[in-house]
Order: sequence, then C-alpha cells, then structure tokens
Amino acid sequence: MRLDLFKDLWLERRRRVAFWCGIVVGWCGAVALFYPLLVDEAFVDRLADRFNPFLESQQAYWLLVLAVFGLPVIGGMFAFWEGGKLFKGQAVRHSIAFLLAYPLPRWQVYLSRVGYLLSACFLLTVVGFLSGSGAILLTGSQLPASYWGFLPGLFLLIVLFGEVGILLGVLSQSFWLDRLVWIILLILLYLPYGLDSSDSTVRYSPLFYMLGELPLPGTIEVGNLLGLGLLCVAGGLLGGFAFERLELE
Amino acid sequence: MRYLVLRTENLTKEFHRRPALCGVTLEVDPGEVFGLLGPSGCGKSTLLHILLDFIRPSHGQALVLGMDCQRNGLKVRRLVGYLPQNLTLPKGVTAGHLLERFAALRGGVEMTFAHELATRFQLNLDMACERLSPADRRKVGLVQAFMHRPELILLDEPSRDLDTAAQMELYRLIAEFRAEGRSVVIASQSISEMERICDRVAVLHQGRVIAVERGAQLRARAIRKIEMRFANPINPQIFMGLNNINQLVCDQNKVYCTVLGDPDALLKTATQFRVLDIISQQPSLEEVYHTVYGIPAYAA
Repeated sequence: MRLDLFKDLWLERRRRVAFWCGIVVGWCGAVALFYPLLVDEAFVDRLADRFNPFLESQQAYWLLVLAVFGLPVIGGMFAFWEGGKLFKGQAVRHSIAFLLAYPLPRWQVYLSRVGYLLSACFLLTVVGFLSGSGAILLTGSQLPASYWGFLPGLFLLIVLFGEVGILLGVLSQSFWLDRLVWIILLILLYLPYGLDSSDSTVRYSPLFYMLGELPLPGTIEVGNLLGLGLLCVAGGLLGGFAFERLELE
Repeated sequence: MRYLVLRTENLTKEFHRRPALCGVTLEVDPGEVFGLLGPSGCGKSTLLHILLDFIRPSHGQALVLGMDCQRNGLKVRRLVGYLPQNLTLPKGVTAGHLLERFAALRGGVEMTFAHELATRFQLNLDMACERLSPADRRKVGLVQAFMHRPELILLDEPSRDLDTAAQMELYRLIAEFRAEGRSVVIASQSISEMERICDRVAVLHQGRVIAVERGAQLRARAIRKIEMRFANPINPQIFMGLNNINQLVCDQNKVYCTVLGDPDALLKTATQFRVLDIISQQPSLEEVYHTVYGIPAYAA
C-alpha cells in the first residue's frame, strides 16, 4: 500500500467521513430519546416476544440493541456508497487512469483505496460504539459485559458491505443496479433474523454473524467472526482481481 | 535493426463488439514529433491508453521504447510522460504541492526543472487546484508530463484550453525536447497544430489509419478558406487561371475562394490590385476529410 496515496485519499474525503460519523452520533443520541419507552417493561416484553423470544427485556440491553442494530445499516450504507464511489464515475476513472500513468502497480492503487475504506469503516464503528456507550451511560445504566465484543463483528460486517460496493463500483456503472443491490442487502440484513423454525431459532441474516451468540451475554462466537473475516478477505481479493482487469477508457 | 520509440502492429481494440481501433500499424522514430489526427471518437485516446496499459488490445501488439507495453507496463510508464485529455486534479492542495506529489510518485524528478517549466507556462504554483482555470489545469498537466525529461511524451489534446502564449511555449518546449532526441506523440483534432509541430501525422478515421503524412505534405495539402476585400471591383477571370483555387466567388470588390496548399500564386495575383483586407481560415476537420481523403463530412 502506498501511504502517500492513502493520505491523499483521507485528505480528499475527510469531510465525507466526518459527515457520516455525525450521522452515527446523531443516531445514538436519537436512540437515547426512546429510553422512556423502553422503561415500560410490558411494552418491551411484547416487542421482544415479537422480535425474538430469546431476547431479555432489560432496558439498557434494549437500548444497546437499538443502537447496535442501527449501526450496521448506517455503517453499511456509508461503506457501500463510499466503496462504489472510490472506483465509479468518469472523474474517478480519469483520476485513477492518471495515477496509473505513473510507475505504480495497480494493486498499490487498489490497496491504498481499500486501506482508506477499512480505516474509515473502523473509525465509524468506533465512533458508533463510543457514542452508543455514551448514550447508555447517560441513561444511568451499565454497559453490558459483551458490549465491546460486538465491535469486531460489526466492523467486519460494515467492511463486507464496503467490498460489495467496491465490486459494483469496478464492474458496473449503473446507478440503479447499486440501489437495487443495496435494497436487497438491507432486506438480507434484517428480514431473516430471528425466523422461527419448529425446533429452534433459525438465523440467516449477516447480523447473526456480527452478534454471534447475542442471547447469551458475555460470549462471542469466534467461528462466526472467522467466517465473516474470510468473507471479507475473499471480497477484497475479488475486488482486486476485478480492478486488475478493469479497462480505464 | 532500426530502433523505434513506438511500434504498433495490427493493433485492434473492440468495446462491446464495437471496433474502436482496427489494425493500426505505426512506427515512431527517436527524436520525432508524431501526430494522431482525427475527430472525436476516432481512436486517438484509445491508442494512447493501450500504450499506457490502461486498456488491453483485442489483437495486435504495441512496443514502447522497445518493450511490450503490457508485459513491461511499469518500466514503460517510468520512461514515458503523459498528459490525459481529461485532467482531474484533487481538491485541497496547491498546484505546487501537487507537482511535488507527482514527483514523489515518479521518483528522480528535478524540482528545479519543474519550477522552471511552471515559470515558462506562467503557472502560479501557490494557487489551490480547485481555483485553477481550465488553462492552468492543463499547464499543471503539461508540467508533470515534461518534468522528468521522459524519452517519450504522450500528449492528448495538449493545447486545448491554452491561450496563444502558452501554446507557443508548448510548441517551443516540444521543439527543445525533439532537439534532445526525445520523441513526442500528440493526439489532436487541430490540423493547424499538426501542420505546425509534427514531423509526421497519422490521420485516423473510425479507428483506422487512413494516411500517414509528413508535416510538409500536410501543409502542402492544407486547404484554406480565403476572403479578400479590394479597393475596387475585381474581374474574377484573373483568378481563374490559378490551378489550386476552388469555389471561387466574386462579389464586386470581394473575392471568396478555397486554396489547396501553397497560397503564394493567389497572393501574388491579388497584390496586383489594392488589397484592403485579407482573411484566411482553416477549414474544419470534416471538410478536410471530405476534400482530401474523400470521406463524407458526416462520417468523419
């Protein structure tokens, strides 16, 4: 990875990242506003039963769940769009072509961009968790034991969205295809989570990988994290493979 | 065997089964200024992009400085300077810092020479890139293309947006590089520019090279539209004897015609009378394609 290219990208796109960090902080603040509703245990129980019968009804826990469940969408949206924009569009393609007129291997240009995306996603995740903890602590509750254990899973999930965005950015120029893929990803993210089968709860959602064994506080499923990590590596390699063959007209 | 700076053999490129280049075979000698002339979409930029390995040919081969431009892409790009047609500069940095960045990316660049070039083009290096005019952006592009004194320089529409003074400076710079034995390949739509600075010009039409002309040949085959205004009405018969005059129209004291090649005979004939004004215009590329190469104007 070329550190100078990485630094240039950060300088160029720092405002955009700051804007998304602001959205994350705003989200956590908005979640804190729901706290009075969550104090109502009967309401929480009803909601929890509908969503997933295994979930407990601790108010602070619910607050955490709300904050954590919002972060994959916000972070994922940022990573998806940003990943696409790093490689898509006429001006971007021209600037990449201009860079490649210098004696730089393509993989260095690719890694610099992916490195920027990874660091931006990490920053967004950490900001999300810090502001989430702030919101929880402000309500006078304690942070659950497993709270920070969700961070690696959430980060990897956001990175995975970014890599899908990169792949689309390299392979497609279509504005509508991007949006369609994002909607499908969003549905996949939430919809199948907590689906009941006859004998146990079946989870197909990527959220399952992020949260690991969420109903049992204090434990994180390492296998899930490894699976998600491998998917991220595969996504990164696939994007690099596509970029290596990209024709910069 | 003759050393060639650039050699393409039967170079073909198709985009989605639509040919962008068809069997282009070209040779450029050391110290030569070579032009690629043609309208937009005729394959000039595509050819330059293949030479820099931005895109890969469907068929054929391109050797730059004796190296295969795909297998030895990095080595080739180290020795080549390039000015793209569409130059996108980053925001938030000054032109000077940007040139330093480019120099660091390339390595081995004398910044004193880069500053000298910027002075020659009257480029203010302290100005932020987003505040640069299109002409100044072009100058940044030109400085970065020349600053490492490359063996071969590829310029895509170099004089676009430039004012006359900057154009003249560019032509002087190209002449200096040529005198040092370096080669320049210029893609342009401007016939006058090609006539002026190129030793040889490849004329492209729909991805094919339809002619490779020497600069002098191009000048000799150049067409000019001439409008002359005389102090008194003129008898058109006196111009009819001139064999390189076409489309002659006389309107009392005004004469309109097109001259193919050297206008010497026309001017000598005209100066027998009192000339009040003379306007010479270069015809459009489409007209030249039609008149010289027999390609219909709409097809160019």
